[in-house]
Amino acid sequence: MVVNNERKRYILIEILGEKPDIRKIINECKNKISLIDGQIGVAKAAIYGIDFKINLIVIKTNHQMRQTVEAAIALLNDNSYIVETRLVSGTIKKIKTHINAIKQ
Amino acid sequence: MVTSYFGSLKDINSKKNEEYLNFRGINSFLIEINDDEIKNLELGETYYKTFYRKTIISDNDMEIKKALQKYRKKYHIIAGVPLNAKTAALLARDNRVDMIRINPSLGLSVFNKRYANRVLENGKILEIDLSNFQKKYFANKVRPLMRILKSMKVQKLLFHLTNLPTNIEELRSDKALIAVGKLLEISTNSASTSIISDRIKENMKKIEGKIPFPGVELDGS
Repeated sequence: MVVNNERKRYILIEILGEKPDIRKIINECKNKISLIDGQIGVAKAAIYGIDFKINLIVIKTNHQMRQTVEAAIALLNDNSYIVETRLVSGTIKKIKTHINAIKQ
Repeated sequence: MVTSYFGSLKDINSKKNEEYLNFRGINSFLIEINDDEIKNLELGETYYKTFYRKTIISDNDMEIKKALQKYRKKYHIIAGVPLNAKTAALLARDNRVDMIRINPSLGLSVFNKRYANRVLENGKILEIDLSNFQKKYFANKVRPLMRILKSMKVQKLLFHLTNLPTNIEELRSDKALIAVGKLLEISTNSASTSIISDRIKENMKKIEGKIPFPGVELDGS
């Protein structure tokens, strides 16, 4: 029987300024994680991005690497946009309710 | 939350930066200002809550004592950066000092468990400079700080995290600073944002004369 043992965390981030391509943010995050924790850290984090129409992005990561990913997001330094973590949750459902609350 | 800021007071007042500061969720500042600037301040000048701090950097005992005598009643928070073992001991001992910034160049001979106990006993806050994390390769810069923090591991030690921002773009929210602090194994509780605001409230009471002695508070008029 196939069992999914990996626990995950969804990190909701908000962007101020011109919203860049999601791949650009994910790559920059990976670079920062690589600086903090090395290539093994990037592999463990298993980052995956989910895009939303408004200035919000959800980053899916492994729950053990949550702190490193949050630190990497805090250390992102780009002149064209600013990123801020808003919520961390274990389910996408809770993130979606939070996004709906923001929209209203 | 109270964020330390080492830039100009004009940046905070300008409406251009309002959107940025609201996005970051910053609503009160602990600003490092000069002696001349504090004289020219007008009350009700800023939209945000502003408090003032002074950082004393010296390797001379007498200079530090003179500065403390001069600045204590003018500023909300007094921080000190020790440059040798003697000044580190003085800063940990003196009641007029609120914060001590860890100077990694002094190493484990000064910043050790014994010093941490002394800091805790005197109710001081340890300020940690996270500006090195902004650099591309920070391993060599962060390593001494990590060693110091490992040796100073004492329960209930209080920390204030800052990345020494000199302009508005460098400012980070408390959540972001705590996330970076966790890389140094600093817990959320020990770097809580209420630590510095409580200290400011206490110091304001002291300046107003409501606390004549430690442990004694005058109530009412």
